[in-house]
Amino acid sequence: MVDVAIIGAGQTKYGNHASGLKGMWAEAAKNAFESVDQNFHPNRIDEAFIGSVAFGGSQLGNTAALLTEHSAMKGISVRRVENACASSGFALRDAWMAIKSGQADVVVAGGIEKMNDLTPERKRFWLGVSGDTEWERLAGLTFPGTYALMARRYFHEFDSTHDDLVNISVKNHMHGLHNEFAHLRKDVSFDKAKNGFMVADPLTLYDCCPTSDGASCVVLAADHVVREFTDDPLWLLSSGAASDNLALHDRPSITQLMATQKAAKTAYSMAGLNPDDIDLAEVHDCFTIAELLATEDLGFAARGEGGKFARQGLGRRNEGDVCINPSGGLKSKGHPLGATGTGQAVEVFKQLKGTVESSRLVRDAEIGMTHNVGGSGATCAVHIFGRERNA
Amino acid sequence: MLEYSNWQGYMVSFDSESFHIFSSWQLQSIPVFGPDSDYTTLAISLVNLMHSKGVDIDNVSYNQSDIDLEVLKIAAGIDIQSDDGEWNLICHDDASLSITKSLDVNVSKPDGLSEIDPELYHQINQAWEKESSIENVSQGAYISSQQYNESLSSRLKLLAQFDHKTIWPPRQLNDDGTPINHPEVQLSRTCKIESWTKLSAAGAPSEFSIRAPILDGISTVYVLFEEGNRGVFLLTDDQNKKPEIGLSGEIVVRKIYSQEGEIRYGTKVQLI
Repeated sequence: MVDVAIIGAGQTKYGNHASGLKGMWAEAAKNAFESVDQNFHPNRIDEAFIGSVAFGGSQLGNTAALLTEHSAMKGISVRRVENACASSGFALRDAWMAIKSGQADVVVAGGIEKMNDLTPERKRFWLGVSGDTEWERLAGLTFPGTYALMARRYFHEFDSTHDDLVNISVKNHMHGLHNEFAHLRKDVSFDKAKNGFMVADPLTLYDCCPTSDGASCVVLAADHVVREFTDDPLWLLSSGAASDNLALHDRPSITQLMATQKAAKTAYSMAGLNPDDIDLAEVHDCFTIAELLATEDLGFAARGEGGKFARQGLGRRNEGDVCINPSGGLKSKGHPLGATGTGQAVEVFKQLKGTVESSRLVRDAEIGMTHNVGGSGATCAVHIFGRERNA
Repeated sequence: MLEYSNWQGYMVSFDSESFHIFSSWQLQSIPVFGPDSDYTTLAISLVNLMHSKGVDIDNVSYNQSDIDLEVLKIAAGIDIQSDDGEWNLICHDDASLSITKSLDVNVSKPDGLSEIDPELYHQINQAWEKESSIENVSQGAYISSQQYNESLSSRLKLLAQFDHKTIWPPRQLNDDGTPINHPEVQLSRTCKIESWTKLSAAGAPSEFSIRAPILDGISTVYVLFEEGNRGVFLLTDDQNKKPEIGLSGEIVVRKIYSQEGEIRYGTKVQLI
């Protein structure tokens, strides 16, 4: 069976981007190509998987063909991958599978989203299209509301309060402060985060990720060609993915994401690892409650202990056993919907290769994880990366 | 002198020959509809009352044009006829209506109607007019008429499927890949609140963008039915009680939003 490595990774800054779609994607791709250590030319790419929810509706059809023709990949097999906010996490998985199958040697996986050139109304539409439109959206729910329901229920079932979510927000802003690609680079005090504008009770502005433009791109290679490009690859040790009921009300519990648990179980098993082995994890904190649930669902905290984990700061960089969201997470780094999954992979690539800003390096990290969720948990992709080929 | 009581957020009175329903609101002593009510929602609620009292009503005579008859038929399970039948449905000018065996009825408004804020009342009415205008192109998700009508009985009447357990909202294939039967089982109309949120106007879906600022946000509850099914619903727009986990609620029919000039009705929760 073929082993798969990440040989290059790059992204744009997340935020309000001056460039349009083609410009953002070309920038991310160029950064990824240039990050490969040696001998790389785009003509080596066999397939491309590009994740996007659909950047405001301006290019719903043939998105991938448009973007790849502007980034030196014209003529190859390409496609848009869509699983809401997990689009590029699944693009990454599909790229991995393409190489594992033996059908491709070098594959690009990436994602892109542009939202900040839309009117507020159009933006709200696109931000709310990934829930159950008929039964959730028409009951007043966009994702702040959906996750607010989950948060309130969690506080009711377990020993946790909004203060635990505030701790997550403060941590992630602290982590993102020195990330040159982050959308929101500012420290936020506990009091400020606690008393922010109420978006969906009990979630305030500081519990919600921003709406960001951005693009990200990773280059994967099969083991038998890796040494052409680098002597120091990062190995993609495993991939796990799963789905669940789209609507909250169809799930047996709204305080855990079964799709995350299933995807993580597969990823851990395939890599022969368990949660204690993970040094850093980029998890899907679209809302602070999402990170709290993820720490439990990924096995970093026991069921019901996610609040305590956050309270004790166990995910803070170089303080606990695992650093959660060293990039600043979606909360600080930003969340360009379709680009987030491979953006997480870019962070893990740079952290494990030691090329991030020294002020935010996770020391001695050997194993990293990405966790990318679609919507409120209907889809999830989990990937584990390691410095060694066989962890 | 008729005695009125509360029923599904409205005021009702009845005897063996007549049932009457009033909006709970008045503006400077004149009864008016609440923010998400109209003759259609009143009619559905009144028929529900009659059914709850054991009245065997399956059709009414009606000759006016204030009611969405398709919605009434599906939500209340009755047929509408234009000629004289046993029961006559009459809409009055004062945000009330009657279902009565007599052809002529004179009902005075109940005591205890709440005075609605005039500004809220006018703004909400203007908002509905704007939202209902055929020129209003919502930036919201598009639910076609076909899609809306397909699940109308599940939406308005809480009809569920049964396949070893009650299933609501309706699904297509079961876990064995077999089509599940048409919805025929009525879910209970009461529920328990398991979680809730209030969205700021900025956080509400685009479908509610005209009215949400006027209402100072919209509230959604996540509920558990007796049968074990769950759902998410808006609270009624004039719900004064604050939701709490553990409170009971009643499922009632109200206006949800408007699309392409057509009011879309659905179910909301009235806290008990």
